Amino acid sequence: MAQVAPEVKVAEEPLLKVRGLDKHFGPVQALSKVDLDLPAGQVTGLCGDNGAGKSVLTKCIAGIHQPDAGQIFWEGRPVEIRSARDASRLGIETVYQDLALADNLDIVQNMFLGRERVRRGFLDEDEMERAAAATLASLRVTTVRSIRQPVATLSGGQRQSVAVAKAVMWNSKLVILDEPTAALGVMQTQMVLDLVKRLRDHGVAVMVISHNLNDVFEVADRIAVLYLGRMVAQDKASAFDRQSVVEYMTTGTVGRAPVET
Amino acid sequence: MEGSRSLANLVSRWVVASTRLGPRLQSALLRMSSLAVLIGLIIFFGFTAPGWYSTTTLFNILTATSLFLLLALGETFVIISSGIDLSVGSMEGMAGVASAVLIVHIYHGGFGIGVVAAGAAAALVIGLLGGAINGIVVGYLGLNSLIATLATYGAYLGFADIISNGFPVGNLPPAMATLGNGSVIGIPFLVLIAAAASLFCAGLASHTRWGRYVFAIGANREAVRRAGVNLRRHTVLLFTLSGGLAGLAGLLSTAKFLSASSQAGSTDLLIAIAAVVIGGTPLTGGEGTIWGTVVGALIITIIENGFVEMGVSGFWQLVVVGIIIVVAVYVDEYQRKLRIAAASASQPRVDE
Ligand SMILES: Nc1ncnc2c1ncn2[C@@H]1O[C@H](COP(=O)(O)OP(=O)(O)OP(=O)(O)O)[C@@H](O)[C@H]1O
Ligand SMILES: [Mg+2]
Repeated sequence: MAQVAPEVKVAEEPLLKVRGLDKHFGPVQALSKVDLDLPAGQVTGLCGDNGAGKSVLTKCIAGIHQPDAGQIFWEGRPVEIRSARDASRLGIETVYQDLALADNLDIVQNMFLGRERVRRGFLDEDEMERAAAATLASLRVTTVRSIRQPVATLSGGQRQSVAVAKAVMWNSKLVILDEPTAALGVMQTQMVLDLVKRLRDHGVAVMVISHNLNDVFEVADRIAVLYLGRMVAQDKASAFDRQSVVEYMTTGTVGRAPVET
Repeated sequence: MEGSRSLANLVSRWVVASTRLGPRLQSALLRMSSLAVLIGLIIFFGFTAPGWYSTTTLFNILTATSLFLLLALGETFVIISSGIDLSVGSMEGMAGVASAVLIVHIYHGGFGIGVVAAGAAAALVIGLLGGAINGIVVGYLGLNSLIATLATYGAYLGFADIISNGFPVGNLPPAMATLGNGSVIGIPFLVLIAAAASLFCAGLASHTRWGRYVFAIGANREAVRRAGVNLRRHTVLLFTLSGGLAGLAGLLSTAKFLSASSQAGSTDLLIAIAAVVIGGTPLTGGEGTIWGTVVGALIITIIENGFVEMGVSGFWQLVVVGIIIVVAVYVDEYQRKLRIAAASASQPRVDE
């Protein structure tokens, strides 16, 4: 059974390890006893139907939500991630489904939001502009006209690229992308997927949430499936095919009648 | 029909062109539209009110502007962050009354510079405290700023009357008169203080982290939270700044009129919000400039002053301010709609 996290299959300690995570909102049990491994230098695809709990799991790891029970291990040590700041201190950066960019700010201002460079108390705009341009260039995000234009004027793909670039700018060790290719065209999707591969090649642990199995199978080294808040499958990507992932997503199991809920 | 369509065409083309100008130039142009109104008014009153151009008029206008400008500066930050502070007027009254009562109590003759310093400190502390209370109610208790500051608007007005038993406080020392009506190298103290506060606020808005967060919060509060910014502390500081400026205005108002009453700032709230709105800061938050507010404040004073010079009753000022608020907000909304239309019309250009 793929139900239990395959601790033995991963030779070294995964960068991030989640054990027995519970989270509820009033009567809604969004996550129950969730286990998850995110190894460095690998892309983990997190799948699940609408409302399965993918975004909630992401937010628990990113310090936005506090889990009710369970433990998160970072590089083998138990940690408590109480805020977004805690998460980024560890090296966890998240690109949210609802992008979390401020439309009125320009690209540079968004990329540095919360971590502006200051010199003698004043914002160091030139330095931030240089660093932002360098990061965008290294990720080959070259379609924007000016890095001083407000993000409200960008296309969906450009906004997504800015959000990803923002996440990788901080030498992050784990980058979580919640539906990074939703609402993107073919070219822009490819651009984001290439970006994901480049991150992995830099040794970063990446978790990608996607409803698009083509995208998942293109980039994922490992696949994890959530079903109604439970982790029903987690293994190497090669252990799955499209059919089995869809079955896990829709019924919570393979080759059996749907689980009772 | 034909003509209006081509006019609409022209306008939309102009808007499209202006969206390509880049945000800095755009906001510069927006600022200039209220600046153009200001210059227009100056020219108009210069022709219609004989002898209007004089340094006396200039300093009269600047002095009359300085008090409510202080409120408007703080209000600009609050409105950019998409909140509102309705308590600044009554906070001005409360701080003024409290400092006057203290000064009268401890004054025993002489010029009274030390006594006035103590009164100034009291006014500032009361303003900062009153603002901090607003900030705690909004930031920590999570109340909507409109309701929270409506409540403290009433409470602070009440406190002012409790402190003074409802009577105006007078008999202030000569040092107070010097503060309120004196000048250095010909420039009134009030004007110097308001100018310094404007400079300080402009720097805060565009060159500090804290100022950047004010804008970001106005556009996307959640993005700022996820960026790890302590929003509660930010909110407390925001309202504390607004309150501190109101406290300063209370002190200076007492100094200028050599009398303090709870009603001192009763019309200042309306006028301060009007200055912010006329200065191009939309109530929807996320945008705005300090210099726009300064220009907006000057426009309001010039209208009042010009009316008086022309022999029109100064009472008309409030009526006109009310009308200007409606017009300014309408023009602002209209421009926004045009911008959105232009942005969606030119959408395909953004992709490769
Ligand atoms: N802040 C919240 N308050 C209350 N309930 C919530 C909250 N966030 C999520 N939920 C609930 O938790 C469950 C899981 O939601 P989640 O957003 O994680 O789903 P998801 O897997 O990301 O779905 P999608 O594919 O639609 O993005 C849902 O039933 C949702 O209604
Ligand atoms: Mg989701």
